[in-house]
Amino acid sequence: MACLLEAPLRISVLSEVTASSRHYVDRLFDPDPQKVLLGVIDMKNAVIGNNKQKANLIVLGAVPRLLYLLQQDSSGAELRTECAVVLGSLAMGTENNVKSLVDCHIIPALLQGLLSQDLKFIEACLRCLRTVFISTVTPVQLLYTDAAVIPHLMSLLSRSRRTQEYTCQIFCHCCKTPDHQTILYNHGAIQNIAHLLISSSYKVQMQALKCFSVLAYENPQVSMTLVNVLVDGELLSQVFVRMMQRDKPIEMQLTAAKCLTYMCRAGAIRTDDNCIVLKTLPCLVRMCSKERLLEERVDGAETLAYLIEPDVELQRIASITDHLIAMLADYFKYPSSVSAITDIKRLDHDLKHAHELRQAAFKLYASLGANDEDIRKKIIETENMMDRIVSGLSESSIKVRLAAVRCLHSLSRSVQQLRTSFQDHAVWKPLMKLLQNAPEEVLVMASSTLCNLLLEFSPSKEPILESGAIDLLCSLTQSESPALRVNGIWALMNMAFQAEQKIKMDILRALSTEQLFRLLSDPDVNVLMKTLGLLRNLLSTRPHIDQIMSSHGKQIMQAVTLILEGEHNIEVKEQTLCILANIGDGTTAKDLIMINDDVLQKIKYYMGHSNVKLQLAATFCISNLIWNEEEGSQERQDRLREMGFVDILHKLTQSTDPSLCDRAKTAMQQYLA
Amino acid sequence: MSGQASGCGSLMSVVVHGDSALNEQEKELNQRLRLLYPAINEQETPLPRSWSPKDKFSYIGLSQNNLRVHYKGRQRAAKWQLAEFVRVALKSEAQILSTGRIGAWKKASCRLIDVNQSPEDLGSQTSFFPGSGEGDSIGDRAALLRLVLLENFLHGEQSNRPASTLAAWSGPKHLAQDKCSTASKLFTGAVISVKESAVAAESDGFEVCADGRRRAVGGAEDGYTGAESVGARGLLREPVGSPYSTRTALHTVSKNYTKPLAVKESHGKTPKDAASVRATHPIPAACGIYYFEVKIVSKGRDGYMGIGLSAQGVNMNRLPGWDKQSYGYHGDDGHSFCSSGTGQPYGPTFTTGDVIGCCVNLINNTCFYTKNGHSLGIAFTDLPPNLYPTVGLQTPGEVVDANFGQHPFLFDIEDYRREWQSKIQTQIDGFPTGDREGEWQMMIQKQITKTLQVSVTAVAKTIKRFEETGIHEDRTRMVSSYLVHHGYCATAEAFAKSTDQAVHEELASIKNRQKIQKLVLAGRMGEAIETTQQLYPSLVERNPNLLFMLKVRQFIEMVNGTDSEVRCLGGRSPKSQDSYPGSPRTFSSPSMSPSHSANIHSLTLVKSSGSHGHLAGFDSNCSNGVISNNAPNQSHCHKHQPSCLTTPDLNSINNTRSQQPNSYTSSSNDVDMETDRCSNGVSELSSNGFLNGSSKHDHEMEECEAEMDIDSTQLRRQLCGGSQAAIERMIHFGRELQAMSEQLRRECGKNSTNKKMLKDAFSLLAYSDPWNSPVGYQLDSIQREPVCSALNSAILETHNLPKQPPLAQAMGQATQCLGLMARSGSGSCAFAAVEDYLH
Repeated sequence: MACLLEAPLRISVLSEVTASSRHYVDRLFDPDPQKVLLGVIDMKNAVIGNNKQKANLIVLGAVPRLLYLLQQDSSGAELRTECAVVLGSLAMGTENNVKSLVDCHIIPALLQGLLSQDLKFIEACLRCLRTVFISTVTPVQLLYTDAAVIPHLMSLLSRSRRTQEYTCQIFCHCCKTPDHQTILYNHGAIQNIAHLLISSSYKVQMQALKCFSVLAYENPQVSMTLVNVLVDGELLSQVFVRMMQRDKPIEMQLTAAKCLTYMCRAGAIRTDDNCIVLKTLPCLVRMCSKERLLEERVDGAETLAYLIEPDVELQRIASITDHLIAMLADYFKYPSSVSAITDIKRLDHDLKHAHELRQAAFKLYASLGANDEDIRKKIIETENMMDRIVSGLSESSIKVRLAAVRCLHSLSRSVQQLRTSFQDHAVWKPLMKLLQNAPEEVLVMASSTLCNLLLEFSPSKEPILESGAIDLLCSLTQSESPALRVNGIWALMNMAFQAEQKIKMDILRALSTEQLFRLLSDPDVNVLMKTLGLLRNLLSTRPHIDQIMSSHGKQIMQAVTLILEGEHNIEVKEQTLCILANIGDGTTAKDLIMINDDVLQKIKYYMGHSNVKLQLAATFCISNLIWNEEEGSQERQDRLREMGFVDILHKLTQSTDPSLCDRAKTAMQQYLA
Repeated sequence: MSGQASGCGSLMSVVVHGDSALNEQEKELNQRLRLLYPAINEQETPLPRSWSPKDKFSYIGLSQNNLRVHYKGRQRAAKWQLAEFVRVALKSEAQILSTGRIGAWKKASCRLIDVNQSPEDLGSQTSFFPGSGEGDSIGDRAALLRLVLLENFLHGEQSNRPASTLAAWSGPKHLAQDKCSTASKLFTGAVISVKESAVAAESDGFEVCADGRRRAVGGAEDGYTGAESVGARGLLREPVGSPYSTRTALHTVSKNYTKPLAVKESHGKTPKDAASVRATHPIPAACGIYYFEVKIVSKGRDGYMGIGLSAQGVNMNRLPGWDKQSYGYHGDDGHSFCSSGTGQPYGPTFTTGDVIGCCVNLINNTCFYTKNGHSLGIAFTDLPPNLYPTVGLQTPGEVVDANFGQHPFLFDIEDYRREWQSKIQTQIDGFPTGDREGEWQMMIQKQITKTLQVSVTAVAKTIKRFEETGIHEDRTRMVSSYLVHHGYCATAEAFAKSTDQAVHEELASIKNRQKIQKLVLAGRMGEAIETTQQLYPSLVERNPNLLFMLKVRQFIEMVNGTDSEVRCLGGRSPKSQDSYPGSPRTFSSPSMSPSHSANIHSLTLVKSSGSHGHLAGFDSNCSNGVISNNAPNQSHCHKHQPSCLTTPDLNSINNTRSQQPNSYTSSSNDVDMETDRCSNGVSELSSNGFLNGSSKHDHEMEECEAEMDIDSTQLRRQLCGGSQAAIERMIHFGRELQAMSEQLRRECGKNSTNKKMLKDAFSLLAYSDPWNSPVGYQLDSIQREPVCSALNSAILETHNLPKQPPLAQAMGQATQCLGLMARSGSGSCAFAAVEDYLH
């Protein structure tokens, strides 16, 4: 109402209000305790539903006085309770109100109040605490600073329905990290709260349910415990299933589905369990339907996306359930054109949720299309799907951008889509733009999508290269984040695969040998593997090998020796031996190996290694070196014979592994010819 | 007994076993259907329980209790074989007729079977029943059956020579007497089914044969496995890969089969090959939510299965969905077909092993499918009413099984039902109600005129009226009027006070009515009539029929021993009867020490004084009932005295009849008396008898029987409270009543209600124990209620007050409305029971 008033008038009204508010505060200081009580009650009635009044009282310093009264034993039970009620009312106001309350150290005072014997007072304190903790501005850590608080709250769970409701609510708003989960778990939260699920009060049931959902989230320990909990002789999962029945309130269905989802993702329930396949999944799909509220649809889609993310069978089932893919298309129609004109309120509501809806839909599409080609096809065939993703990539909201990239990433796993719709819609353009300066999480997703777009059969490869992807990717390899480094080098590897000479040289130049060496000693084995892969891709086709080796031969040989000497797993060593084999395929490059006794000894060693893969790679390398019809093959053959390679090859022809045996025989033939 | 025959035997035992399994299945089905569709009255609207053998295209074959559907195709290639079959059959028939020996007959039948085995190898004479000696019933039966089939075969669909004739020429001649019944049973089954199949099979003689044979056995043994056991395989060639070929029965037969019939290859190529079958009944609207599932046993060659719904009269030579009023979901492409030849992309494809469910929502007239328990989303909207579950097949080898509730469903349909139930309940609860009575009336008017489009809200309007009390003026008025109407004056007073409502009637008047009602309900009719005449002098005068009714009731109460006039004679404490029990249904019977002899005594007394005409009314009625004897009655007797079946004559039935209610009286004595009276019975009333009474009578008998257990344990009651004087008074009163009735007839013309009333009342005297007699229901205190309300209404009417309380009217209206909704196809009625709103 105030905003409708003229400015000068508003000020005068405000000063009037302040004056009247002062009267309330003054009465708190009355020497007569009875009058103080009456004053507090009047204040209570004055502030209910009046944010302005609340702000005024806070400004006028009512809070410290109320807290003082509340903490004073001499105040009397009634007065203390009324103080807690007024403080609770004040906390119901704006975020600023809550902030000022927290700044006045309301939380310790209230927690202290919980130790009282008076149930009414405890309830008032809990209610106020709850209201304070619900607010996002309150640091939840305040609940955990005193170790005695949580056990005491647990003990209050048996006092009354109100204490149950408020305590559970506090728990679920203050359980934000795995540490919090563990603290609550260790204090017996599960046992204490489980029986509240069958409480006769709906509010208590709901808060208990929400508590379990936050406790189980990504927490295998809690989840494993939960599956074995019995409530009134019934397994907890069955209680949740019953709460998902269609005639139960939507909020309850949704939260129960969340609990089961989290338990499933934490590995406590199998993904092919009937309570997931036949109950949770359909329930979440129902939450996505048009009949539900926008918030519920967002929540439903996000939870479903989380549930089906790792399991292709669940993805398949979800994709056919209730036309989910088509249903999600509707998420993009907000704010609808109708609402814009007819109903301002609804437009506002729609606008508020539009981003959330879009990102939820993208997330779910991403999960749906993660593994199954048919589902990806169905998604892309949805009306305007690619356009939506493209515009989603450049939306202002980071959440939407991230979700859109995730969706694009999922879809980019399809060879067919890469060749068709991705090309038609030039998705690389917004993607490249996104990569320029995006937060890390977006960058990870975007770069890994880019990896797929740079696969040699992708028609987007050319334009991406032209738009300066090499420099961008090289800079990614210098990132702090291992995920980004992997993606950067991976993309370069894909780029180098069967590429032309110029691109390879560009990559080498942009990356610089120093960086290459740095990457070869990267602590992340994935980075190392992809770097070796890049090297291997660079060193293919004879002229390329020779040219690269002539310019960087020395460093490369050094790096190879280093890795072969180092403690690495078999895959890394195999990859390295393959690089040697590639080098051995060059014309001039061969000499780099032949003159390096060290490397030859290494090869010899790996030919006699216990691992067949390494033997194979080493033999391959030798066979390249002694290949006939090539200049100087005779000398090399002689030299290697001297080193005792023939004997080893001879031994290998007796190998039980057929491919190794073949390879050795081919090599031997070079000598015989 | 050798291999083949014993094979048959074991198969039959399997069939018997299957029977018990079937019963179990049937029970489960009934249970599930009741649970799913509580609002359904199956007498009015039966639920689909199987596929209809009548409503199918000939390419479709049914089995397993008409739940399994398989594709047969045209089967025309066997024509040449048919000719062969006929030739041999004729020959063997002639042989049988000429020899007249059972051995020869058997031999002939064996030959017949050989024909099936291998048409070319006619002379080989491998015996089909190598070990079946004389008197081997299986062999005989099978052979006989063969003959019946042959007969059907020969005459095809045009003749359908009655089986009895067939039995006449074949049965007595060749079979021992004890086998005769078996034979005739077989024949009946065969012919009935052949007739059916003839209709379905168009002009394809072979089809008739094959089907006829199958069902012939089905009729006798309930299961088609029997048909196979007899060796029908040769003729009824099943598509390769169908489950039938995997059956072990008589593999030898099919092994010998050298010439495969190359027929089916042409099938399934064109839509012309499509064939559908629908369920026996359409889906009743009162189901609210209807669901059935179909399991794809085999997708056959191409998997062109369609599952859906169709209205009556839709062409069965099509897949569901192709024609008008037909809807289907097809397995080959996963498309949905909504009365159109071109489908819309709908769901995934389906194939062997999948279970497809179809759910019809009769509230919003939509339909969705499920696959393996997962909902696929809405497929059709705006469905018409009265659709039949339908499946269609198009290529050889396609086999599907239906589940109409025989087994648990894969999809959680109960959960879906619950959702809709709560939706409708919320809708009713949240229905806005107007403030004034006028609005109510308007709504009700609208409701009546627009009944055909009644939606849930319309019913809600009415139901809502009972649901709350107190806030709205009209509702309070309704409640208070209800209270006033029934004379609950204290309550009404309190209610009126608390709601500031004016009661439209003076309290004194209410109290008067209350007093009269009390008297009536206590059975003190004499006093009640007196009081009425005192308080409302003109009422009974203007309403002679009412008076008559009251008087008849008084007579009944006299018999009961509760009427004041009789009671004072009986000298019982009036207090015990004074207060009407809180609930009218908990009638406490006047308990007096029973005396067997007294009973007999009173009976004889009645009899002796009963040269009186009325008494015989019962007797004629009794014998009448027996003569027009009817099945229920007999089965009724059967339950108690199976021996009476052997010589069912009038006397024994009479005996059992009278015995059932009076199982404690010595039967010989009783029978003597009864027969005595039977011969005695001459009266004016006997002539107009109970021609229509028989069925009613049986019903009452059953009721009596149901109550018998309880009654026999109770103490006996005596006529008119057991007092001699009272009985005399009653007889006298009866005469007066008779006179009054005659006078009434003279003045007002015939009145069948009155006549029936009087006759029923007098009939009471005909029984030794009227309370347990077929007319004994009249003595129940519940019967006072209609009299009471009639009197009450009449009094109110004279005061220009409504005859019926509006609350009751509204309730009746709502109940009727729900019934109408069910008939007019509005599914929401399934979830809106009036009772739910009466607290």
